[in-house]
Amino acid sequence: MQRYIIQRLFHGIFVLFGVSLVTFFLIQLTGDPAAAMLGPDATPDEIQELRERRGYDDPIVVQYVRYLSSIARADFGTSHLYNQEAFSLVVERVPATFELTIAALVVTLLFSVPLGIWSAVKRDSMIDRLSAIFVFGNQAMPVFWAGILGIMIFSIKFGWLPASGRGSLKHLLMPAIVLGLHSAAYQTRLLRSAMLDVLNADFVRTARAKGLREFVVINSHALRNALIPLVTATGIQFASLMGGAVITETVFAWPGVGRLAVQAINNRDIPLVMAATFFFALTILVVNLLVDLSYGLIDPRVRVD
Amino acid sequence: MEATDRDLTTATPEHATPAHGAADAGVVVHGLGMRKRPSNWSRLLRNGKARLGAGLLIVIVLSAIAAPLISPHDPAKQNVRDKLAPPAWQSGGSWDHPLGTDQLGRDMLSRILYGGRVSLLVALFATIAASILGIVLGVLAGYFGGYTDAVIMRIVDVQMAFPSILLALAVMVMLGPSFRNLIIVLAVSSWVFFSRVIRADVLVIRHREFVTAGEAIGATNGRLIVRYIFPNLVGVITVVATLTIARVVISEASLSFLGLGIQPPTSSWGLMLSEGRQYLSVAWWITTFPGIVLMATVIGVNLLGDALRDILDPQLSHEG
Repeated sequence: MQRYIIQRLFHGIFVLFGVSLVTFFLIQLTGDPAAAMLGPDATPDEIQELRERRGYDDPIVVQYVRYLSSIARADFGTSHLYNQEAFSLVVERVPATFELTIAALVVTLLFSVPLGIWSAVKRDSMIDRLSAIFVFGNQAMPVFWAGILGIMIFSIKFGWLPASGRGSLKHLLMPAIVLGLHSAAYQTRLLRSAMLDVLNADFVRTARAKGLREFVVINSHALRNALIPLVTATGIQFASLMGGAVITETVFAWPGVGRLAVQAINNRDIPLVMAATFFFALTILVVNLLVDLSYGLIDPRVRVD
Repeated sequence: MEATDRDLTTATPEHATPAHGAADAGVVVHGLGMRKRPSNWSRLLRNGKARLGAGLLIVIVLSAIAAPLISPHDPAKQNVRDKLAPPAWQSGGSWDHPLGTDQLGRDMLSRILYGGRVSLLVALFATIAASILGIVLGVLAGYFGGYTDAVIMRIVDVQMAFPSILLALAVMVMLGPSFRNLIIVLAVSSWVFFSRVIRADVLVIRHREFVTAGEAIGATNGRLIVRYIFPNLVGVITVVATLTIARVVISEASLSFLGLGIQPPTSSWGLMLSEGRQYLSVAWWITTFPGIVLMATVIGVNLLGDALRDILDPQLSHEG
């Protein structure tokens, strides 16, 4: 187990290394990174001064090594948009994104677990069909459009919920539901197909044959075995929500990391873009590691090494 | 209960050959003394999902192609006097603009028809580019294994560590928004889906007897890949490509929505949705109609993709 964790950590470091290469390459693509860092208002003298101070005239390999060492210190430079240390700006926004992510996850699970189980147990029933339609419609709906429709209906037409911002539970409700339902479609489908596999397994037949109540058969025999794909998907969803709520945060003006990243990108605020990108990559790696490690807890048959 | 999750329970006598429902659905089985299965085409034509999906797509694609012939107006023509006119059936609307007009008085129906050309072309090109990249890298990783595999899969890992929309946004900012760059960005953020699935398939096919036999008679690597392995990948490629088109249509819309996709005055469905956002309270139709068409397209593609998956590659069905 220890060996596995160490192996995975190495793997994670390798991936971060790759991420750093990609971002470094992207900065080089923009042309003059000094100009990019200082933003559009900088004078040529200021740019030249920064070029010399940061050593942008050095050989590319030297620059990359220096870049790596500044990343290791979480020093991405100063955001010209906010005139603040870029990484601390990202860290300030984490609670908002975290709040939205957790709320969306709750919505997803509240929706997909009962629906997934039910549509597998009552296969081809009305519920199963309705859930298939829900899944299909939902997959085809871009999350920003769902958000816009939500705003149109619940904020503009009925005036029940605020259209944007963060603060009260009411503010959280619509973004969380839009985002949560969006991934609920996938989870429902996944759980349904995992349950269908398990329901045909011998041990479920045995459980039925020994006369257990159907509720017990489904919940403690079948569901527990269908959980692994759901846990994986939930972990991936958590990671991608932390980073991918970009659009939802933009639609609802939710002050999270995703919206910050979009602002940074639109304003060519390179230090901020880099800081946000690294934060996302790190989150995704850590969550994936935790998900892998959790398999052993859910299913003792899975030996990670 | 003997239920399998495949749709072959409605077996006609033709279906009831020993080959049915096998994981090898895409593999030809001639010369084994079995009765011939119905061709994939006829199975596709009989599949309800496929017919519905294809029907939707044919209507959408044909109307996009025929846009210059059937559009009632020039999609770029502004007419400030007619701005924000509601659809024909609402009070204040007229049949001159069946779906109303936008904030600049441009005809919604014409814009949706022309916007479809852009959205669909971007999706098509991006999917083709992604599939070429993904297939080549996936086959190389699966076939050669070892270091080649390790390097390619680590690239995949790095890519997966970025939220794809963010990566796309960042690259768009660096490259500058344009039709070509949009296709590059969308292709770069979609090739991993091809390479992962294809690598997994190649790993299995690589060790089948017919490949070993090919090796034994001295076929070169190139010949083994092109003549022996590739034909067995066509099914899975078709399926992944179809589902990728759906994903790309949505990604393009999302990028355009965030202002980094298609640039005005050219329009795509995503850009129309984005432009209509400021007028939500006065003109619901600007965001609603492009959204509906976008959704219909993705539903059509997904229905067709699902049907293809059932027919060409039943093993994939379980990956949702």
